[in-house]
Amino acid sequence: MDSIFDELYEKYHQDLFQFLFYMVRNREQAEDLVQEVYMKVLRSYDRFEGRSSEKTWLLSIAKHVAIDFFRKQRSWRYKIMKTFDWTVQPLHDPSPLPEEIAVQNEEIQLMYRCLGGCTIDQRLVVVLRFIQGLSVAETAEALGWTESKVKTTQHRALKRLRQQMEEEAAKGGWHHEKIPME
Amino acid sequence: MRKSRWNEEEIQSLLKQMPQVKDRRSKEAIYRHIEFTSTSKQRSTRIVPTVVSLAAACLFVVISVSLYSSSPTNESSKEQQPKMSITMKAKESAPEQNRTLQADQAAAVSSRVIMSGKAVVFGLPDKSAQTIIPISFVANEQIARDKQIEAAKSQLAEWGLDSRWFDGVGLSAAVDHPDVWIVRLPKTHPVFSSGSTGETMFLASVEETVRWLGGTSVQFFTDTKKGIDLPNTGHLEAMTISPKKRAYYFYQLDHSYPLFLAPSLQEFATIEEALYSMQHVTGDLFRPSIAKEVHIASVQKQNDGLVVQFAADSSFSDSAISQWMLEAILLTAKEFRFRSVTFTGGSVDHIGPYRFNEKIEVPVAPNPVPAH
Repeated sequence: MDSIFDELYEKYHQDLFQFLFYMVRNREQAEDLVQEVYMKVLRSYDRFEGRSSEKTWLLSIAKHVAIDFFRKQRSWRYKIMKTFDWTVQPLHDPSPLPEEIAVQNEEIQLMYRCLGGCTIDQRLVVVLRFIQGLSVAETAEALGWTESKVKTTQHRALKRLRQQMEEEAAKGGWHHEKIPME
Repeated sequence: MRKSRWNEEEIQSLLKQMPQVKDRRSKEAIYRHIEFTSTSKQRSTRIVPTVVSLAAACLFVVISVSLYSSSPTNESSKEQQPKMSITMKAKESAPEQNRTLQADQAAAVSSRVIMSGKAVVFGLPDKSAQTIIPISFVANEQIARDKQIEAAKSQLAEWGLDSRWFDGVGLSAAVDHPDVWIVRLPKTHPVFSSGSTGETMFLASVEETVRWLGGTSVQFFTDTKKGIDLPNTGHLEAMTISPKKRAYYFYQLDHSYPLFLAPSLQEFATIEEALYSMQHVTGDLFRPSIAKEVHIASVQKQNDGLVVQFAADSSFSDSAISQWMLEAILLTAKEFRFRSVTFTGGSVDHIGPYRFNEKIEVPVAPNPVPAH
């Protein structure tokens, strides 16, 4: 086994996998994409200059792989939409919840679904900042953005998530009404 | 009344509580996938497939264009050869067919090759989707072909091989160009939603299948429309099938599954290098097909024949493993376009049905499925 792969796997694999999983919200796709990340990394490892941390460098490659995936998916969807007259589209994501999410409370499940309503940029920030626990500076480095862009996108993402949660809850996706504090 | 259920801090807090999601695959399995995908991508810049249908109806089409031909390097008639193959079929009394392949060491060893006659070969992904196993069907004129195929399908599933890629797919030779194979997929074919690994395995299956048919290229259709749009691979219309020079290893999912002869993922420049790798392959996907107790003293090429001499101190104690080793060598020789192999030395005069010091023609196909 390649020693670079071995080392990177031990240090970062679960972080990379989790990042991709929450980006694409599909275990099988995340499995495929994490392999693509390794292939790209192994091909270009000798060009890693150490200007960023190894982890943010890997995450930046994972970001490109994820964006590429969404781009292909979009073009595929576009072709399908052109071919068929899809007048009725499902409002809710019909795919079943992954096991790890399905065992969580309803609020977490709702959040998982609402992540799908964020833009890709918003999801990138939210996943890196809050699920992966990166700082604003680390997130900016991984995404190749300025810190202010990270902050702005984060603000919009949280607003969007909040709005989506409210909408979904109003539709009946949230069954446990909080008791307002007097 | 409270206007909103969640404030921004609560949203952040919820995000931080999202559960850890772990990759359930082992490090080794992931590495093998990466190696396999890299190798596949290097092999052809833009693979495009073909499909064969194991479904009876489609196979009738295939058969009607004499799919029941032999292999790419196939040549003269072999009718006069002793029929030594196809013993992979289950013993009549055995209640569980899938046990037959590993339970045969004691008595006559089941051959892992078809030595004569006609066969069709399908490349099928193994259960872990890490490699392609070529599986062959023997033509049996006495039994309706659709019944043979249906019986084979259930057998394949028991053996841990994935034949779903061929469901509903039509494969036929182009009318004017018998080297060109037309593959037709229904819009609902599972490859369209299988992820990039599924696409890779599907394309590799098609590539292997068409190579064994002697095809040099494939043209791809979605129903009647030219080309196929795979979400990860892209739009593909045609694929060139190149000849390969590979080594054959032992592959066995685990002890409850049969042992197959499986081609290497990489190619070799010379037969010597291929034979070396057959004894030294590492990793947990393949096992060496030449045991370490066996020593190859020399390998000589004589026109289109190969002479493999074993050292006198070689040990062939396990009859099944030794026979399958010879069959793996025969298949490897076929990859290198040899027509025959002569085994010499080793202080034995035969192993299983293979007599030493006599020319043995290379097999027609690997890994036969029972034709009953």
